[in-house]
Amino acid sequence: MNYILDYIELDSIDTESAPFSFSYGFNISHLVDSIQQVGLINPPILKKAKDSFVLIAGYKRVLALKKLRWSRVEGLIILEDIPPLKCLLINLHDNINTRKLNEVEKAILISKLAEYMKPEQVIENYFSLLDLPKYMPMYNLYIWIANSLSKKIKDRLASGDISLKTVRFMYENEIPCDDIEIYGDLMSKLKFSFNEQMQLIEYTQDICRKEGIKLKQLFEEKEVKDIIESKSLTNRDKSKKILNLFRKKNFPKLYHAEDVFKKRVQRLNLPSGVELKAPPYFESPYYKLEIAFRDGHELKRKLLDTINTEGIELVGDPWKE
Amino acid sequence: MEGIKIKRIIVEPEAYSYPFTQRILKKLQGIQVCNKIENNSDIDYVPYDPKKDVLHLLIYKGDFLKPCPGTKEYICCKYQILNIATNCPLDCSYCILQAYFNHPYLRVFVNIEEGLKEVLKIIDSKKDEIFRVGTGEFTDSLALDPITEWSDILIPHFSSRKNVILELKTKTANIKRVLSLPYRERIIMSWSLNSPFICSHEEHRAVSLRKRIEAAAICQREGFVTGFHFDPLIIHKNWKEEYLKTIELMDKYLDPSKIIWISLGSFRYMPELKNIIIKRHKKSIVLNGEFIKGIDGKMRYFKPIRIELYSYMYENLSKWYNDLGLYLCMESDDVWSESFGWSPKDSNGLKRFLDNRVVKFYG
Repeated sequence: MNYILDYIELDSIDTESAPFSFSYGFNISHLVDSIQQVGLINPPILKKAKDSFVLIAGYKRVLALKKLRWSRVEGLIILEDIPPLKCLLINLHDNINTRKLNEVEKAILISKLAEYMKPEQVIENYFSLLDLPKYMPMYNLYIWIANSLSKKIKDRLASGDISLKTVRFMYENEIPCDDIEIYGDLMSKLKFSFNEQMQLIEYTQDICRKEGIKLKQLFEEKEVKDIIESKSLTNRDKSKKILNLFRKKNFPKLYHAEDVFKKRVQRLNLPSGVELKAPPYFESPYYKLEIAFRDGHELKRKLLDTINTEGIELVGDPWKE
Repeated sequence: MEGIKIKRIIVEPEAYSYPFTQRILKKLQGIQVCNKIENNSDIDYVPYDPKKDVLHLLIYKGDFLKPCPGTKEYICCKYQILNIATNCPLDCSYCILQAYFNHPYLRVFVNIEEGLKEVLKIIDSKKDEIFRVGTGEFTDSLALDPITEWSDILIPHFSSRKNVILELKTKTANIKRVLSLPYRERIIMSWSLNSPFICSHEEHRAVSLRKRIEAAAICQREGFVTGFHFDPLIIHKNWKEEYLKTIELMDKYLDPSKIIWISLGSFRYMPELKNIIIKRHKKSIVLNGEFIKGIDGKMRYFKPIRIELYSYMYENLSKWYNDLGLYLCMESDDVWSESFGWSPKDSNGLKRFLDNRVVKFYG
């Protein structure tokens, strides 16, 4: 490749269009600090356009330099007229060896590669490089992320507030865009674990389908709003309460049974360290007793106390009297 | 062809020479035939497009007789499936086959006559065992019968043996071919039933409930023993009244003494099916229940809901006639006891119960 190292006015570098950049959701303050301390280590890669320079690699570096009010930079200027795909690949290889791309960056890159080749070629030639499984649904997911998600949701995916698993779940379940925005807002306001994010979506979508209502309507219900807008609850408490509320709406009979069982066990007043456990969803007919003990004497005492607990023989399926 | 529209036939090269293939091609003259799967969209199975108007004729290389894929966690009736085809031209929203098979088309196995010989060898080698065999698990037994003439191939062999019954399970009224044959013995004509609402709202391309029951009544009059399957029972608006309507229709048309068994099973599904139902059957109400993950990994109604469903059906069917051979499909011992007041305890016990029904009806 024919290139020269030369000083270029920063103003002559076009950072608006950045056709080969796929950087997303970054914070350049660390880079600014680094340049301030040790200067620019790697020059950006550019090619000459009509009246300006097109950035091939080094988008964030140029932004950092502009923030530092440098007037010019030493850049690596490619003299040949190289095709756009090659520019994109130069940027890819410039990035991929030094950092991990976030999911939105992968999506942007895949959608840019798709402009130059068939989906099968993108998958075959670049998915390993991006640590992605080589199959078409994954390609479709990333194209959807690049083309269909709003900036707000992309920001949250890039920052890790929303997991890829959650986004994939939304994609596979064809969650409407309006609903995705609502989930995005809620997930940024409250703190949900990744599993809870999926639960939230599944519960609420099921409720909306069963009740024939829109997600927006569900979130406007008083009991939902009361939790979200509560001033006394922490965000973590709110997310737990919200999930609990939706679970109750979705599984009223199971929820009631769990509640009855819990209260019945509490009333038993079992010895300390003795726990009665219901089978998951009460599906198996077998309940479990768990006893914590230090030695045989304590075990014997706790077993006798448990046997003699008043009402123990009434333990059973909570829907039975 | 009685409601089933075939638009294309795919014949695997090795399937061409079979007489079964030739008979079908003759019958479906004029329909486009290709001799291989032609493009990628055919190969990449999309569950949302199962291509129910394409008949795929091929050789089946596995065992034609297979035990029902029940799970050990629940009581299974130890039924034997005669695997003559997979996928079904009907399009019930709740159908497990949508998620069970990873290939499209109506796949019909053209080496059925060869396979049948092997099946009969197995049956003949175990004279002391009763084989309850059915073709209605991986497809509808009669939906394609006008094209495939399966009944002509199968019925004579099963009817003449003393240790086997053949159950033809359907949601159609395609009984002409069966009735035209001179065999009645050991052939059980069975229908999947549901509430009128579920039949019309969820069982697309199936005939109406009334037509099914009328067809069953004709079969009874023509000397056939009948069976019925309320599977899946589905919780829906006014489900009690709705299921009563079905029982009332049965009472109006059917002779209960000619019913060998009625199975009850509540809606259950592999988790993967949920998405398929949501996408393929947007108006379906079958998912509107309280589903939990069962011990076998399938989603099923929360236990007290199932018990309520079964108890209600048991009570009302038993009021109609008290010897209907009612049994539960894939349920646990405790659900049996709470719903029916008795339990076969395990799969062997249920097999004994159903085998005894066979002996009672056919000796």
